[in-house]
Amino acid sequence: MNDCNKLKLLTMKLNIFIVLISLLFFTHSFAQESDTLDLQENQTERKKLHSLPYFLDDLMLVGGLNRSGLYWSDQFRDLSYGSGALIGLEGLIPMGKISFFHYGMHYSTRNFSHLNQVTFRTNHLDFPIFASFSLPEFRSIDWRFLLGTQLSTRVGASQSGVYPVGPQDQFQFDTNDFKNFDGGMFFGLSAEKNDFYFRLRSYVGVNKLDRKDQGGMNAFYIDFGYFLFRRYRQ
Amino acid sequence: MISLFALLQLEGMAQTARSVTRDTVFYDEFVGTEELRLLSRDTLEVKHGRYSFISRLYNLPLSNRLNRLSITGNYKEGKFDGLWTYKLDEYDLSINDVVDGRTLRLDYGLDGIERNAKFLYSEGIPQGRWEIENVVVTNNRKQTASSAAVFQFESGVAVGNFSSRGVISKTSSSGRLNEEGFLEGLVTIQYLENGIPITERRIYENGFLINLIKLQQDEVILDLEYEDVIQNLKSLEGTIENINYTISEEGFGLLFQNGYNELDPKFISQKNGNNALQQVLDRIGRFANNAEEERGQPEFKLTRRFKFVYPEEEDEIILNLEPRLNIMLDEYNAFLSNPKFILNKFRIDSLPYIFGYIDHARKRSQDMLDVIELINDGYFDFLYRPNYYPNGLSGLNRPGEFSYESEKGEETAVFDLGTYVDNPMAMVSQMDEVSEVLRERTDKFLEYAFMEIRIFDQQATIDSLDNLIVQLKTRNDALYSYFQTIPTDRSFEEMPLDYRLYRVLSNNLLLDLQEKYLDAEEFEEKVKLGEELTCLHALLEDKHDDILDFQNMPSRLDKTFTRFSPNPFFERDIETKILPGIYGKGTGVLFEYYLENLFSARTCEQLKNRIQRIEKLEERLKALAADSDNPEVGRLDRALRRENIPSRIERLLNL
Repeated sequence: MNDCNKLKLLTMKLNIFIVLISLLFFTHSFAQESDTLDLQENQTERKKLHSLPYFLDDLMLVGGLNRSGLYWSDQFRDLSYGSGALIGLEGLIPMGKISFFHYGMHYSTRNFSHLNQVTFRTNHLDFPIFASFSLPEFRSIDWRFLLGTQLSTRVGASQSGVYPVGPQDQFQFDTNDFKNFDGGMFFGLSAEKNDFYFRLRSYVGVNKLDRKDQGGMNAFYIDFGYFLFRRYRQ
Repeated sequence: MISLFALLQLEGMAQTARSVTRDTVFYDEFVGTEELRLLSRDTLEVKHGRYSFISRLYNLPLSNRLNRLSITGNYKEGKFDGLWTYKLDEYDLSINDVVDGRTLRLDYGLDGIERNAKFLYSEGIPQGRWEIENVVVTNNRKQTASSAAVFQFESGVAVGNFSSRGVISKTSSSGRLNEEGFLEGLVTIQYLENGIPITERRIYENGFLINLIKLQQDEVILDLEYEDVIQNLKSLEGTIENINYTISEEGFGLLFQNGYNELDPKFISQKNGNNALQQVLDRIGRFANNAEEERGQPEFKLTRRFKFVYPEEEDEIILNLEPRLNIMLDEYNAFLSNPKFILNKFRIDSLPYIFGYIDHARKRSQDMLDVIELINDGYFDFLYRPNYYPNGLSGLNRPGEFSYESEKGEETAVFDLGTYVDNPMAMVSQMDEVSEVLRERTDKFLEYAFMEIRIFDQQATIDSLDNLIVQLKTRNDALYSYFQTIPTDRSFEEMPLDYRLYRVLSNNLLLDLQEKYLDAEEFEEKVKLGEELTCLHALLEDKHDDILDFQNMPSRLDKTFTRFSPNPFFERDIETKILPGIYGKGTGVLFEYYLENLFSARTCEQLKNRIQRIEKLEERLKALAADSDNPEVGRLDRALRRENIPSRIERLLNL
């Protein structure tokens, strides 16, 4: 039990660390932005930003919401989906006539409930790598189909609620048995207009979550993005 | 002792009063010399003591007329006091001969009138006997037969017996004024009417004329009883048909009025007699009506009137009626002066009739407003209104007619509101009723007329749009070679851009819009579609040359993006293509995308923006080419090389 608590504490610390790293990064970006508000330095700053590398034009801050759960589990009758969120950074590089290569890093939570009483929250550091392809319709909003993979490392898990005392053969998920790595694929559709990005996607993990169960994680995402540097390129 | 005191007093006055002789002008006409005495009073000098004036013998240039005015009188502390005499000689001089002799003499003749007036004043107020006399001078001799008039004044008001006679004009008058100055009892006036001597006997009662008899050689030719006045005077309640009245304190001069209109015998029959009396008053006024600061004017009250107080309900009705009539009048005037109606008067059936009706309604409304204005101005305060409008308001007191211009000529139509202003006792309430009916009636006509003109206007707008669309379409069909067939050795894509664009737009947009325009039934929708169609055609006509030029844009810009550098080996310079990324993507992917958009435009606004976008692209590419040495432009060029999505290229090119 002590080991379990230690692990939980470690996971929490890691979570906090990752959030701090992310915040530091974004704070730096916003600090640059707020600098530009200074009227005297505005022109110089703008010039400096104007000469930023072009790949930064396609770097965006991403935030999103998801509904996630376990699939292919033996306990599928007792499982239900939970809501989670993500925040991260993503970039894209044009490749060829209609395709793009996307890369990024997300900090995301994917949750599910068991027996409608116990809720498990898993925290992941995701590394999506995927391609997108421009579709011939809605070209003014860059309507694209996307397909790719995502590697995840679990940086923590928590359980809220306790299993009821009942029959001994009742299966119980245990965060200590959760695997630390996951990988999977996703596909979806995205749109882009000026500085804003919107995406719908579906993710399927291929690794088991709990060593004792067959179920892997899946999720449906709604993501929103904001291209941080495009507005300086005027 | 007393004599000594009086002597000293006189001496004192003599010291302060001074005599003045100076030239002056009387009545703007008589230039002469006046002698007067001025008395010092504080810082001012006032006239005091004897006064005399005698004008020069006034001779008008190139005229034989001789005039002279002489005045004598007395001032007391700046006011007329005591006897004032006026003598005005008005003669015509005729020179007959110069009689020779030791002393030359003129043989002349003077004919004219010597006018005399004697007025008595007391400290500036007419008081006592006033006389005027005219003596006729014929051939230098004063005639015994002359004209004269005598009045008595009490505190400025003519009272007591008066008389006048005029030998030449054969007029005379006599009568009595009561203590308040109003005519009382029998007044006899004689005058000539069409050369026939008439004697008029009037009976007044305290200034009210109650009977007028005209005699011609002792034969009664008119016996007019003012029964309305007698009735009013007899009535103790002071009320006639709900109209309250009192007796006025002020005098109203010779004309006796009780609301008689100008055609009323009670008005007309006074006229000649009053004129005869007025002549006498004018003769007095000729000498008495000036120097108002120094003397009071003689007041001839003569007649009274009844002061009428009309029912208060009338005020309430007028309070609503007047603004309503003003609004109606404004509406009618706006309609009658509306250029649309005037211009299309004969193009819409029934509009001439409505024009005539509204014009007639305008006149009748103005008549009612005139009555209200007279009421508001107090015109009927001393005039019995029912006497003024014995048959109600003319034009609205019975069914009438109005005329209007039609294409056939002038026509007449019936004007009958079904309700009339025919009761002199209830004029205001009847006007209220009639105005309501008139408004309802005219509102219907105006509504109909406005509806007609709107339809007419709408049709005119649509006709004009039709014409414009046809004109523009015909011009564009020719401009864009719409009817040209594609040669067999060429495909549609190989045809010029303007030809292709117009074909595509015609098939996908213009013809469709035209169909909708023709099918549209709602005016607003039809106009909107028509305006869209004309906007598109006008834009295409205006931008034809630009559109034609678009297809040459890549080759045109190719020269801009080419640099020549000296060739060390050959005479011909080395051609270098600069900024291949910018040129390639700008004139390639993005330009083609813009052209596609041009073909798929669905509105005039879209087409306009998309044309402008291509123009802007060319300008931007030219600007970048001109700035090709800038390292930033070089970086942009490199960045663009890997881009193939139009919106991304557009963004990077900052379009």
